[in-house]
Amino acid sequence: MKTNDFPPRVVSAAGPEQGGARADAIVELQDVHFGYGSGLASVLRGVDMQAPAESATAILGSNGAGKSTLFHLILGMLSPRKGLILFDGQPRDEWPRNRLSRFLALVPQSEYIPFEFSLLDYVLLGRAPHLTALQTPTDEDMQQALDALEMVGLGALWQRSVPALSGGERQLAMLARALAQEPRVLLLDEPTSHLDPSNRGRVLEILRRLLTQKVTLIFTTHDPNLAMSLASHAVLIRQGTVLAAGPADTTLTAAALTALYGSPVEMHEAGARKLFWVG
Amino acid sequence: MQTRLVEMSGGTPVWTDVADSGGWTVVNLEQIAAWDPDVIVIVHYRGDSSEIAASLVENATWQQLRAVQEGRIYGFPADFYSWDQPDVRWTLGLRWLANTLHPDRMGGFDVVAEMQRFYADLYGLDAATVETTILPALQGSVE
Amino acid sequence: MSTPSSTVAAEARASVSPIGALDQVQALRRQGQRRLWLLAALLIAVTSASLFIGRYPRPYWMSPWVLGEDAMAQQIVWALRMPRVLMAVLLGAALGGAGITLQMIFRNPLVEPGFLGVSQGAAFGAAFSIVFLGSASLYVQGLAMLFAFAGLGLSYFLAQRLRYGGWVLRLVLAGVAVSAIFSAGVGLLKYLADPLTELPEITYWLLGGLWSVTWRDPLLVAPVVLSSLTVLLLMRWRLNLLALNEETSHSLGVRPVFERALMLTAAVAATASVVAIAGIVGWVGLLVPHIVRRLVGANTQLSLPAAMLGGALFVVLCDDLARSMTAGEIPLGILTSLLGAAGFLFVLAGNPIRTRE
Repeated sequence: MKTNDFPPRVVSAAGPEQGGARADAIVELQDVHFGYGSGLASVLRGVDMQAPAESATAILGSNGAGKSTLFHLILGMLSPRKGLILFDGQPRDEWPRNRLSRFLALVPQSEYIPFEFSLLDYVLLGRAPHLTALQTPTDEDMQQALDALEMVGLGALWQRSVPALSGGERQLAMLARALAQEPRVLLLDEPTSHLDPSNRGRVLEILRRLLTQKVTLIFTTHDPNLAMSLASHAVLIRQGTVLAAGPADTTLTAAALTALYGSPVEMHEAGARKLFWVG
Repeated sequence: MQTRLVEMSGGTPVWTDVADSGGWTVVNLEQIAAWDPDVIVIVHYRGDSSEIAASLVENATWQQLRAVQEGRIYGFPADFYSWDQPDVRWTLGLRWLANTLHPDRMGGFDVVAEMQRFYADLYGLDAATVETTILPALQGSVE
Repeated sequence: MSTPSSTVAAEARASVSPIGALDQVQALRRQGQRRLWLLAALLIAVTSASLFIGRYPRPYWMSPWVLGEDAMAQQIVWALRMPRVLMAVLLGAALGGAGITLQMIFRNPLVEPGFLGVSQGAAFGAAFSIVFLGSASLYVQGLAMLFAFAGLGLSYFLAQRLRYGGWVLRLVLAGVAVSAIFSAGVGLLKYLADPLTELPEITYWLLGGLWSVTWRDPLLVAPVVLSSLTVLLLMRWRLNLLALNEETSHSLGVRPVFERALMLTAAVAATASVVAIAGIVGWVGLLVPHIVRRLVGANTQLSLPAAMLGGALFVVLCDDLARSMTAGEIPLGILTSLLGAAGFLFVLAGNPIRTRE
């Protein structure tokens, strides 16, 4: 069984107004500013957010609010102009690249694959963080990839070519590849937006199962109902600033969502469930 | 042009089966070996063809050719312009080639005398002018 | 400490894992490897046989027994055919390997190594040398290689300056523009060239061919070609990652800019060296990757070495035709384009190639 050495937790030097680093925040952003180019226009202005470990955090916001930029910052594709990004309490600059990719995995919204990779070869690419640049996958890596496929219910299709998969199956394939990374944190970009109800149900079931297995989920979504049903925490982002953040059931309110989207949102209670109606 | 020159000089060009389209054709050395020619004539438009011929005699692969072994590789002569080209000098080239292929039948070929006669007849140049301006430019396998 | 998702995986293995799935995977992988070895064996057989194919002592085939008694035959095999066949192997392996590398990096199955101004740059360099510096092969090859790299450098520089589209699109646009500039330059040089001496040489060079190859040529380019191909071979599995979305490859720990530049440089260095000697030999780098992907799958762990072997095989066969089919040389570039394009249509008809929708 593989073991990962995680950096020791250090007490973060966050200002007292943030209430310090929360002991259980596995991913944390402190006063993050970002803009493309050297102009004054900023995409993100002073974003603070915390994703508690072993639970799901939903990021909501309209198109262009800065959700994708936020993901790219967390992944390290972009660097903040100002502010800190901490993983396990340690600034991300101090994380070696390979260890970071064993800690954090991405499930993109969609991915264009021009070549006829077999599903197994595709999922096997998720083992890259566990291999050096010149290594090729071992039998153990193949077993991990097969297990990841099994986990998302595509075990029988491992020989199928990826471009020939349905949209739902491709979403599951990307999820399996991220699982093959054996990450502690999973970043999901709109995990269900392209899916029909049955595939959506499949993805949600897998994500819930992952939560019981101590994986941390951070996902963006346009759907407050998905956020409500899956996430314990929610962050609302409007025009590059955090509108509200906190536990999902207190943060996701009709008033906050109306302010977020700029169009009226109603909340209905159906038994123990809260349902949002937009428009 | 070169094909006609060889034929008129009483030779048999080996390349007629590939050069039916006109213009130059690239062949490789092994094709030349397969043709196994009696005589090889080098034409070169940017320098002394006899130097090329001499360098080929030094080459181990070319040395295996019968024509080279028998010393029958020549550089086509040129003065300011090669004598195998379609201008009047081709008559000089023809006489040179005929003499080179069949020295026994041409009864001696003095290239300087031929040139003097040629330039005097066609260009009205006197012997001294030919001697000082044209002869220094003469290249190729000529004495 | 056991990581969370390996626990998950272990659970999945315990509950639903198909018994023997790994065995099946391994069997499939072994099958792919067998095909690779088969390709290698075929290449060796064809390469050896090619030494006996030619015009001497009679067209097409020379019996090995001739070798014992005919000094000319020994010279031809040793000094002419052997370096030429070796050069064909290097040429094909470089074009095939570079072709699949570029296709993966640009995430586009229709890319070929002449892309990014490399071929047109080399053509311009060769034509420039023929017109202004004389046709000594050292000048022609040196300048061809120089301008091949200049083509890449210029494309790269322009791509960074362009303010339109993503990285790949910018490079493609820059490559198209740079190629157009160089081919205009070649047109101008042809116009300036002496029709008696220089123009035919430029034309022959542009058509591509190996008839002037001596031992000097393969030995000259082998260090660059072999080291570049070694870099690509060592990173053959890693190349897959570059065909993914930029954000995905980033999240998998790839340094996309660095690794892409490294593999791109290796591919172009190999291409530039062989193009400098052989001239423009098209379609190999486009067709061969498509065929080998059919044969061993898209995974570059197998398809990259297969593309090198397949490219070498294709070029050796084409050059055999070029030098032995008729008494005169047929330009190699014409043969590879003819057979390559025909093969491409054939492959395309069998199974459509996906392009960006």
